[in-house]
Formats: sequence, structure tokens, C-alpha cells
Amino acid sequence: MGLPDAPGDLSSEVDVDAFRRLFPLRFYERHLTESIRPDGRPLGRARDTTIALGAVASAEGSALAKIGSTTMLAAIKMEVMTPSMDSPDEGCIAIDFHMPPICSPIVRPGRPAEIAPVVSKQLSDTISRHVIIFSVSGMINLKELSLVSGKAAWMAYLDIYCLDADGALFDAALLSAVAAFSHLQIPAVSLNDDGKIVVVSEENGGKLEKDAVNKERMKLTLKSIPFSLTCVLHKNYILADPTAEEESIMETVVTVVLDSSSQLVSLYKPGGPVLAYTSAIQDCVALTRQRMKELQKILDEANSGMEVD
Amino acid sequence: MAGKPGTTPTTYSPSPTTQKTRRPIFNENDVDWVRPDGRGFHQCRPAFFRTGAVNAASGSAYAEFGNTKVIVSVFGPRESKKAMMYSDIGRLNCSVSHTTFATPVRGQGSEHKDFSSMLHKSLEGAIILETFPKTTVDVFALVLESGGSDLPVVISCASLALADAGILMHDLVASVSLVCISSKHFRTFFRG
Repeated sequence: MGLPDAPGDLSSEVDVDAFRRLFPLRFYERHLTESIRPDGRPLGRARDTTIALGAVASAEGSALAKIGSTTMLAAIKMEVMTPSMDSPDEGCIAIDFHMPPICSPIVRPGRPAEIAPVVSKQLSDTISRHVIIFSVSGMINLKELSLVSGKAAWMAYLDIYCLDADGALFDAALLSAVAAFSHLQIPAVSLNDDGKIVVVSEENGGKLEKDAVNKERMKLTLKSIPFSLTCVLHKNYILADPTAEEESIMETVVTVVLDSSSQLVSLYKPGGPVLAYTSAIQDCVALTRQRMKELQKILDEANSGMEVD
Repeated sequence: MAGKPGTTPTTYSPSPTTQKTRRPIFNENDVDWVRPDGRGFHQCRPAFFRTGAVNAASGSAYAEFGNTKVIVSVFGPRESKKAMMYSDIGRLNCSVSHTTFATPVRGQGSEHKDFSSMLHKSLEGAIILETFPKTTVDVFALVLESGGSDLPVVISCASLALADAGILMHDLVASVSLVCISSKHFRTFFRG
């Protein structure tokens, strides 16, 4: 048997799958010099992406997003809260990201994935912070979630479940989250005699109408929607939308989040062995801009498909 | 992870089902009673099964019975936990949990211990544990949406996922839950 530093001699004799397992980095570099990836993609292309809206009937808004094999299910449940004193006419969004043991062999019950809190934090930074500080330019206007000023407002519980983890978890999670918000229908509610907010159903709709708080089911206006692309950096190569295998072999990751008017929302480069030049970052942003247009189109198509139904 | 740090306001669901008294679903005097969704007494909801739902798992299946949606992943046979004693036969480890949005009122999304042990009991007889000594097969189920009769759907789906993972079994396990109502008429009907 040859030594790991002389794999070139082995490659002609060893089966491709064995070579891939024994020398993963060497295997990838061979592909990269040919400007192709083992799954047949060019370096800058993301995997096939689909969005299905309304996957969960028990939630007010939901979406299933798939990027390649990576699958995310996001659902929003609306509950009523008393708004805080500082912002009496604003609602609230609570975001949680879950990686249940079904999604990956690494996660087991009682041993959560290390990346889950990281993605969770990035998501709430991208969605919530973006909303609160720049409520003029952000995705969601929290004032739309107000019901009775100072008394009642909506609390939107957004829960995102990773059903299949195969790289680029944040991209898929963010896509499912914005898709769930675009599908969200806020129920018609009214104030009952006890001062509580109740959903107007067809049975009790008639007698409670005079106290109606919002009379019709309504949708949120999403001003600018954030979209993201994760790239892996390796030497001078930039690989868009990495799979789990690519992420584990080449560890330097850059995630760029742009909103629908191409403004930079956030940029993550959590360390890694490769240092990025300005030009590499610019290339990542350019790839994200291209990807943002693709994702916007996919989301629009999913939404127009719902209207036809 | 509240939108505003430091504040975790208490919330309540505005859905009226929580405070309303339920309408009786069965009238004893009505002999020609039909179920609200138009099913006969011995009729199950329309079912859908598909294997290979999760690529990261050794085997997986997705099942949908009416509004009950379940996904099951099987991992292994793989190394048992370090603390485990030597075992001549394989181990089966089951875990069932719900999503927070599975039920009409938002839940905690924690593991359902009763379901986990009942899933284990229903599967262990069907699996030929002798074929993977010293190792463990993990069966993880997630109820995406709970539309009633969750456990039988989980069990049927898990059995399919085990077959998809290539675990040797005596046979597939199918499951259904029944309700017996009205002692007068001794009628039973399928909930599945």
C-alpha cells in the first residue's frame, strides 16, 4: 500500500469510491482543476431549489424549502401577547431553529448539533434585528402585528425544522423562513367580553362583529426580502452552495445575505484556514446577487401558484 | 430567541377551540350516524407512504394519513453508546417527538416518552436483532403535523423506514388505532 503523500500512484489502481473516501481533498482538487464538482455542477452553481407553501395545515403560515437534499420545514403560529411598554403598538417575532435527530447521523437525542444554535442566532439576527433597527427598510413592519395599541399584539412563533441536513443549512433555513412569512395569513380576530382576543370563526362571526379588531384575514407586506448564499473557499476556488461533504472537507465558509434590492444585510466568515482577499469577497457577493434573483423568482412562482389554487 | 432581547411575554392562542365545550360527535339515538369527514366506521383515512425521504439517513420514510404527517429516519446499525454493556444481539433505540407547530396549540416540541417506548415495543419483535450484534439501530420519528392517531402512523412508517434501511425483519409492522363507543351498539371504528 502506498503512503498518503503518494496518492497519485494509487489512483489508477484504486476504485473511485475508495479513493474519494481515502483522499477526499485530493479527490476534490482533481475535480476543481477541471472546473467541475463531483455532482456535476460548475463551481458557481447552486443546487436545484424548490419551495412548497402551506405544508402544515395546523400553522397560520408554512413552507417547505429544499436546496438539493437539504430540507427545511418552517411554520409560523400566531399567538396573542401584551406588548411591552416601550413599543405599545408593535408585535413580536420569536425564531427557533431545530435540528431533530432525524436530519443527520451526527445529531442524537440529548446530543444536539453544534451548528444549530449558530444557525438560530444568524437567523434571528437576519430577520428580527433587521426588522427592529431598520423598521423602515426591513422585511417586516412590526406595527402590522399590532392589534389593540398597548393591549394586544401578535407574537409570531417561527419554528424551522431541519428534516435533512446536506450543507448550506442557513441558506435553506432562511429561504424557508421568508417563504413561510410570504404564505402567512393573519387570522381575523375580535375582542370578546373577557377582553381576550379570539379568532372569528363562521359560527360566532355574526355576533362578535361589532368588536372586530381586524375583519379579514390579511397578509404581511414584505418590503425587502433577504436571500443568502453560502460559498466554500479553497485555495483560489469559490464553490457556491456546498454540500455537507464539501463543507467537511474544505472548512472555510462565507455566507452573504442580500436583500431584494441588492443591499448587503449580513456577511459571515467564521474563521477557517483560508484567508479571503477583497476580490474573493466581491466574487461571493456577485454570486449571491445572481442567486438572489433565482431565489426571488422561485419564491414568486411558489406564491403565484398558491393564488391560482 | 425572542425578537426583543430580555423580554419573554406570556402569550395565548386565540383559537376558540380551547375554551369552547365540544360538540358531541356521536348521537346514541342516531342509528344512521356518519363520521364528520364522511368515512364509514371501518374506513381509514387516505394514506400516502414514500421511502427515501431523508438522504442523510440509512433508511427513511414519510407517511401521511389525512392531516397526520410523519417522517421517520433510521440510522445504523452503528456503534452503541460507550456506556452500553456488551450484547450478543443488536439494540433498538426509538425516539418520537413532535414539532412545536404539530398541534393546534403551540407545544414544546420535546420527546414523547410514551410513544417512544410503545414504538420500541411494537418494532422489537419484528426485527431480527441477531443479525447486528454489538451495534445499535436508531429509529427517530418526527410528527410534523398531528391530525389524530399519531402513534399508529409512526409505527407503520417506522417499519417501512427499517425496510428501506435494509434491516432484516420477519415482516413489516402495520398499525391502526380503534375507538369503541356506545356500549349499547358495541360499535367500533377505525381512527387510522
